[in-house]
Amino acid sequence: MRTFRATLSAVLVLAFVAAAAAQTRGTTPQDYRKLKYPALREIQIPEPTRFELPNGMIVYLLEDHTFPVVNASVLVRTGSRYEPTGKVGLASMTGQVMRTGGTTMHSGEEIDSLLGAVGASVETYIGTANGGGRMNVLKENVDLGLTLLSDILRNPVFREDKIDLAKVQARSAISRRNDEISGISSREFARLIYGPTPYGRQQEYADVENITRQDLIDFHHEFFVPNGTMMAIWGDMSIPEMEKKVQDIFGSWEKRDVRLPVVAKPRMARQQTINFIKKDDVNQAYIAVGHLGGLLNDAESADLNLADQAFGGAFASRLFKKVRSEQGLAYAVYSSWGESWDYPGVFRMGGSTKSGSMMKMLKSILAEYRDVIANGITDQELKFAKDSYLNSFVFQYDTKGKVISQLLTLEFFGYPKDYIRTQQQKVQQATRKSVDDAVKARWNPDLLTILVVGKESDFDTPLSELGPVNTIDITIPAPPEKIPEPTAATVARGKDLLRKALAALGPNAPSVKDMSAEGSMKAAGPMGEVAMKVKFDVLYPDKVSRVMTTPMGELTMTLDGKSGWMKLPMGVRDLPPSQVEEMYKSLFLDPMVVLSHIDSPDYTIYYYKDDKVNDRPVSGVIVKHGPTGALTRWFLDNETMMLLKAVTRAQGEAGLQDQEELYDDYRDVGGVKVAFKTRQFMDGKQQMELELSGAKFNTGLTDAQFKKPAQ
Amino acid sequence: MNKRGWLAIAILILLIPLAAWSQDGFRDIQKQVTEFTLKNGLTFIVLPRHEAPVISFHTYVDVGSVNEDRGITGLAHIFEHLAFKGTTTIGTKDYRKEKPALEALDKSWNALRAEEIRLPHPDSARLAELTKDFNAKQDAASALVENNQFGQIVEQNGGVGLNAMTNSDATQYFYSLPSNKAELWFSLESSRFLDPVFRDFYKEKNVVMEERRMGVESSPTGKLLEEFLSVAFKAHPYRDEVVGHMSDLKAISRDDAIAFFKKYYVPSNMVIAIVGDIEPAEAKRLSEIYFGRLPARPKPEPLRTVEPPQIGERRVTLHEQSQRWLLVGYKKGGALSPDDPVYDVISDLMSSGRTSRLYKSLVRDKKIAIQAAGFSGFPGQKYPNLFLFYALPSQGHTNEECLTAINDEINRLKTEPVSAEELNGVKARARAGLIRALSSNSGLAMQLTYAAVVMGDWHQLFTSLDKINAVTAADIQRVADEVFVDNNRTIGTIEPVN
Repeated sequence: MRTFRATLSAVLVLAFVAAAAAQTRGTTPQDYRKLKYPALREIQIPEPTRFELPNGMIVYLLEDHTFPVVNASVLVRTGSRYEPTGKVGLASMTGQVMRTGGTTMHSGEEIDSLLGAVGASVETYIGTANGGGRMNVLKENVDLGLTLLSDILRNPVFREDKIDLAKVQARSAISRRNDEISGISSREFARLIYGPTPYGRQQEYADVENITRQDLIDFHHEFFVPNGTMMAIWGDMSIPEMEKKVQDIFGSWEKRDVRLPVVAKPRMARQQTINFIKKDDVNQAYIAVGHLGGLLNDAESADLNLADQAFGGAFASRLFKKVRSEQGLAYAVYSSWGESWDYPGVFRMGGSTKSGSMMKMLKSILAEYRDVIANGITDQELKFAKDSYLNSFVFQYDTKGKVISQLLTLEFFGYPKDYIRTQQQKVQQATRKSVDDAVKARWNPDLLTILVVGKESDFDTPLSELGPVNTIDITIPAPPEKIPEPTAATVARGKDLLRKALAALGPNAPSVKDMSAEGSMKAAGPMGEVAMKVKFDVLYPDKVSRVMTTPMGELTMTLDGKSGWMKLPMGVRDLPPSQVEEMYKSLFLDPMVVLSHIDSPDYTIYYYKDDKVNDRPVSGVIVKHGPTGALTRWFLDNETMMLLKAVTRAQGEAGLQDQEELYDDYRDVGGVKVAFKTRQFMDGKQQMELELSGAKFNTGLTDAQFKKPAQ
Repeated sequence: MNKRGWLAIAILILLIPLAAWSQDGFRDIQKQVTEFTLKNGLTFIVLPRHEAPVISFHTYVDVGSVNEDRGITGLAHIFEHLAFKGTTTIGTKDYRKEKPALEALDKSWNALRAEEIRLPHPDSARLAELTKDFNAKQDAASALVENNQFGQIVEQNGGVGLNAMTNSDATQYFYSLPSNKAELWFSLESSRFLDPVFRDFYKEKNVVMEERRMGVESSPTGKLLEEFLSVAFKAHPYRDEVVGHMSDLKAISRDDAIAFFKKYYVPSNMVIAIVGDIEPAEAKRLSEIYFGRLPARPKPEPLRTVEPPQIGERRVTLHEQSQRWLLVGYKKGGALSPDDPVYDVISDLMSSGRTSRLYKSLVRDKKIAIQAAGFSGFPGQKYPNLFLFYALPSQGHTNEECLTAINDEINRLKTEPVSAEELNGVKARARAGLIRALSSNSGLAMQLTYAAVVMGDWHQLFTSLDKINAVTAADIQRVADEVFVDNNRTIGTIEPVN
């Protein structure tokens, strides 16, 4: 074992107050201004023992004999930011069921009983940027605690019933997330700041349904390795004995190489936005204003924290004085310059006030913010912030648990071990200029995200006074429908329905070989609605070409029967395989293709329910294409047998969601009925609308026109 | 269970030796505690701990919202806010000018208030005139205020955790300082109660009204708790939310606050704990110098009203834009009831961790709730209070299902004696919990004052363990039979509206 043991017992002098060295022992009460303080006595900051096991696990140990307890803290390189899309919540569920679902040696219930009987606790979790575990035991139970901790970290079995339990809890948490206005404000504000990065994701019902036991097993396997794990143990123990225990218990954990996925970085907003969420059962408005924060090791970190302390981070801060004490507008008002270890935090200021003073408070916060950027903080404020930090510095080291946890975290995130002392020096050296420069560089008055949650009709002034307002709908997306399995009876009924549908399409429907159509399309995009002209050519069953003409140019996407290509103004290139697969899936579910393959073994077709579309009674039929796994739910008008709606499951903002296509305006085209209007919806919102201007059948399309052209 | 499972457990059980650090450790700590009472009746409890140069201070004032009369609900909590407003020397630019400005402001407010409540209705012109006058007087007084100076001094000198809290039973003030600044605390804390100035009074009332809107009126659970208490108690002031009624918050005057202060903030009604890097002799010396200044005054008369026995089930249902909540409260004795340790044992048995009965039944096995627990001492502990069960039904499940499942667990308490193994677990957790509680200076300071005031002696913090160890399975059955009966319960629920 490579053992590095620091023999240095560093003595750090924590003397910040160079006031009179000799204590004045007065006998009369003193006004606080006249008090003289002795220098703070030196404290010895203990140096923990650090070593690395041959399997790469890094361990810190520190003795603390004050009380007969032993604690451990474990950090593991994993995190919810590495979750695949469509499975949001997988990481936290993995962290939870590791502990509850038992191990190869013990069921979760056994672990509960063993720990509960002695008042001990061992827990695991996975957060945003790391996972980990915590152990807290009386010293006589340390072997039990460490053995279970190791077992849970290494050998979880993710028993199915505990996954079910975790899913019940996850679904219930989703259902409860809009109950309290405070929760809505902080959640939606973070989502606005982080945008579509993994830091801004939110679990939906669809995610919960998507997560399988195998996903948990895989996620655990992917990240939980000794060479990605660090552990601190401190308490009433002897270091040599504990070192041996750790080797015995964790030494057999096998090392394995792990590659951490690359994660999209959150970016600063490009423009100011004003956002509103309606909540009518409250008499306070919740205000949150801010933008992307920073990292704990940013060059300006110390200066920005001083600015924040003076601005809104303390009892004696500007916001607290101006908004709360002077105006009596709020109980809660604050600012928080947000920082994290290895991804930007959220800079947020705000609070809550009665609905009738929403704008007054919001303007007051904005004015103070702009003022501190324009004019900086005062000498008195700087002195207050510096003194507060430096005089309370001793509290960063006042327990051994803090000392060792700090070192563990610093090494885990690749920070130098003297980070805290460097920050302290930077605070000592900070000047009004350095603070103002940092504020000007990092606090942006023009790119603010503003979020107000509350009862609009009671506001003193409409929020729109500040500019265009983006209203956010926080309705919880419904869980995706559960799809039943086919039976002989439902298959017979389903096929019968499709035969009637084919007949209803018109006398020439069975002889369709190809189709050409054109029209105009409107699609919802991230920057607003996009309009384009579209043209389709389909040579059944497996070739399709779409041409879209937009203000930016012309785009052609074609499937040639085997692969796919696209043509852009800058040239021709292959479509990505995933897109080719998606396009084939949708082609195999094209009504013309399906209706000419009702008895093909490639398709499973079965009736599943009666329903209504726009108040018209319909029959629901499931169509599944076996080779690709493509699946759609069709709804046929009971009277006309026309297809009114098709529902497919697609990747949406909230994970896998049901996407609905509504068909309308059927017209006869040479003995075949064609829907001239198609609208696509997801989560109640229209995504796309297509209106045909004309369609033709059997014009004699040939394979040649679907071939990929030479460059 | 398979054989390998048994073996694995047997191996682990062998890893658990007998408890080592027990009575000796607790006795050693108690020996280090010094208690003294100043001539004016103010009691101090000091525990020196020199591991780090820091000290935690905790002031426990035996006055809570229960001490409010009708018409001044919320005043105990308002006073807590006022205690941060400073003194004749802290928080003012010039007290000689400020004093008459404050008096003029009070006069103006009294006139405005009289007009506001004039029957049959106020005169709107007069009201506008008085409001104008009030605003002018308030501006004049505010101009002399040095805002939040009290907090600023503490924070600037390295104070951390500066805060205060008011509950039904008590008002508590606390923070920690580097130990070289100990005398600062003695100076500030004594002058806070010797020489307070209730400045910014009317603005601070607005802050408290915002606190009420935030915590009660804009929160479904806040609303439920307020309604629930008002139904569960009919006579005892536990029925009123600590934050007070909005009409009282509007009506409370500065004179009300001064009268309340004089009555309840007397040395004999306060206990202070100091835990950290200070010698008891030094603490005593400084206490006498600074807190010796507080004049002795009579201890306020004990609360007269006693909640009568409940003679029928009570129920309140709120229809809110919220998922379901269930509260079930049973009347029981206060902290000094001989059965207090039995309530604690039942609370642990029902609610502590993954081995607790409510978790196992409602959350883990039936999956009808995402949280379920029951604990002793709501909304306070000093007077007879509630044993409160609560559950958050999981999606698709109802309050009634949870109520039935909680009842089943209550019936088990009555019909099946608790096994020795389960009881031993409770006792082991109590011991481990106490040891853990000792490790935090601020937490320990708070617990020492609580034991001293509510239980009558700080030693009770340690002897409570002996009392818990003495609880038998028969005690649990007896108390369950006595307390958990339908006529003695109040049920509160939130049902969703959409």
